[in-house]
Amino acid sequence: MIYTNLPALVLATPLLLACLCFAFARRRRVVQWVSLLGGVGWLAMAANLAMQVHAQGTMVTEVGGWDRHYGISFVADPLGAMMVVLAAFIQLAVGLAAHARLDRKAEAFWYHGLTYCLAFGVTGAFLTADLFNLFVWFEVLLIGSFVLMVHGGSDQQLAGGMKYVTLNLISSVMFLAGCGLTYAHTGTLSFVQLAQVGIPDGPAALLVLAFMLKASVVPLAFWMPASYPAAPTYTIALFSALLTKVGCLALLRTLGLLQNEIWFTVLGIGGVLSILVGSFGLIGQANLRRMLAFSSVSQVGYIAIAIALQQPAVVALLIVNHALAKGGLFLVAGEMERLTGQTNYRDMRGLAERSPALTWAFAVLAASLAGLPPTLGFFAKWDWLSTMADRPFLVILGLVGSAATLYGMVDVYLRAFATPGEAQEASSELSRRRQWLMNVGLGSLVVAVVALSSSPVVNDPVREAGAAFKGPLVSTATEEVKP
Amino acid sequence: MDALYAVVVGFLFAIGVYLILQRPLVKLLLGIAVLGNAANLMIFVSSGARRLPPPLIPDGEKVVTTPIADPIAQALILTAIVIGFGVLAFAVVLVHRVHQTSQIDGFDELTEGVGTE
Repeated sequence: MIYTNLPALVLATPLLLACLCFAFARRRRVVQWVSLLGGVGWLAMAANLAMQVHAQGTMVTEVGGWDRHYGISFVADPLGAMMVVLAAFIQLAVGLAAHARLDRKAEAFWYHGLTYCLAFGVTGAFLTADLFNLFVWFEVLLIGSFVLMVHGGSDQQLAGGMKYVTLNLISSVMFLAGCGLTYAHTGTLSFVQLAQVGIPDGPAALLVLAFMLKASVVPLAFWMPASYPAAPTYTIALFSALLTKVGCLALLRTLGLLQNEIWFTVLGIGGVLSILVGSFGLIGQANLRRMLAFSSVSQVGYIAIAIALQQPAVVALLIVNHALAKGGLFLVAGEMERLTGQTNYRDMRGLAERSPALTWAFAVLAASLAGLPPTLGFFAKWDWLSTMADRPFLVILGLVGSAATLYGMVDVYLRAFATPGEAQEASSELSRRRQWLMNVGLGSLVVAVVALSSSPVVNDPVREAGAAFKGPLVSTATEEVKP
Repeated sequence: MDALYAVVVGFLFAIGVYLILQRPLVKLLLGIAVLGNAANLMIFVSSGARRLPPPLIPDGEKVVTTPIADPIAQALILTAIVIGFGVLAFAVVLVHRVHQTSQIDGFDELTEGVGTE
C-alpha cells in the first residue's frame, strides 16, 4: 500500500486532453496533434503506473486527505492498472484509425474530445474504490458513449442510439437503487468495508442485474447486437473493446462482496446462455458487424463463467484478448466495407488480392478471437478450459462456442477474402496519409496480439496481474502505514 | 413515516415501469425520469427521513456526540440528481431528433438498421 497521487494523475490526463480538444475544436490540426501526442503520453503514464504497481504494490490516492472509507479515493491494484494500460492502448490505436476515417464535419463536432471523455469515465471505473463512485464513473463514460453513439446523426444511428440510451438508463437506475439500498443496509459504500459486512440479497440482485446488462450477459445482452452495428466501425471498435469490459470488471469486483453465493451461480448460468446465444447468433448473420456483435456476446459468456468460478487470472487474459481482437476486427470490418462498398460479407469478393495486409490482419485477429494456437486467444481459452477440467459440460460448451466462432470467421475468410471476383468499387478512397494512419492503428492492435501471444509462455504480465487480484481492492487496514 | 415513504417509493417505481412499457417514446422518457426520482427518494428515505441537525462539529470538540443527519446519503442524492438531470436532457434531445428525422413515436418502429460510413 503506497499513498501517492499517481493514480489520480493518470485519471486526470484524459480529462485534460478532452478539455484541450474542446478548447481548440475549431482548429482541426491542433486537435489531431493533441489527441495523438496526448494519447501517447497517457499510454506512457498508464504503463508507468502499471509498472510501479507491479514493483511496489497497490497505490492509493485519497482526495483531500480524507480516509478512503469516507472520502473519494482511487486505488490502482495490479488488475486495475493493467486495465488502464489496455484502455489507453486501445484509445490510441482506435483513435489513429478514427483519424483515418473521420471527415472534417465529424471532427469539428468534437469527436476526439468525446472519446477522451469516454476514456476518462472508463479509467475512473477501473480505479475507483467505492460503489457509488463506480456509479458516477459509469455515468461519465455513458454520457460520452451516448454522444459518440449518435455522432453523425444518421437514421440508423439515432434508432440504435435510442435503444442503447434507454437500456443503459434503466440499468443506471437499478445500479443507483442498488447503491442506495446497500448504504441503507450496511452504512458504507467502500469496497473494503463492504467485503467485511457483505451486501444483502436485495441490493445484490439490483447490482448484479445492472452489471450483467452493462457487460451484456444473456438474457440482458440483446441491446448490443441491436444498437452497436448502427455506429461507425471506429466507434464500435472503441465500445466493444472497452465498455463491456467495464461491466465485466464491475462484476468481478462486486460479486465477492455479496453475502449470498447464489449470485455466482446466476452469473454462471448467464454466461452459459451467452455462449450459446452468441455462438448460434453469429452463425446466422450476413452482416459482418452484427456477426461481430454476437461474437462479443459469446466472448462475454466465457468471461462471465470465469468470474463466476472466481478465476481472475483467466478473466484478465480473456478480457485483454477480446478487447484487442474485437477492437481490431471491427476496424478490419470497416476497411472491408470501405473497399467493397458492401455491408453484407457474402457480397464481398476478392479482398485477399486487393489488400494482402488486411487479409493478414483479419487472419491473426480472427484466430485469436476463436482461440487458435499459437495466439493470445488460444492461451486464454486454454486456461479457461483447464480451470473447467472437472466440469465436462462447460468444457464441451467452451469448445462448441470456439468452434462456432471459428466457423463464422472461416466463412468470412472464404467468401470475402478467398473468393476471387471482379474488383468491387470502393465506397471511398483514403488519401495516402489517412491510409498510413489506418495501417498504424490497425497494425498496432495486430502487433499487440502477436506480442502478447508469446508472453504466456515466457513471462506473463496479464495473467500475473489477474492472479494478484484479491477480491476487494486492498485487504485489511492493518498492514497500511500512512506517511 | 418510513412506511409511508416506502409505499410512495414503490408507487413511483410502479409508475415508472408502467410508463416505460408504453409505446410512445415521450412516455418512455417520462418513465425514466420517474424511475430516477424514485431511486433518489429511496436513498433519501433509507438514510432515515427524520428532522435532525446538520452534521457540524460543535466549537471546541473533536467529534459529534448528538444525533445528526446523515450527510453521505444527501451527497449521494445530490450527485445522482445532477447526473440524472444531464442524462435526461440528452435523452429528451435524442427523442426529439428521432422524431424529427424519421417521424416515428414508437419504440418498436425503430429500424433494425446497420450503419454505413
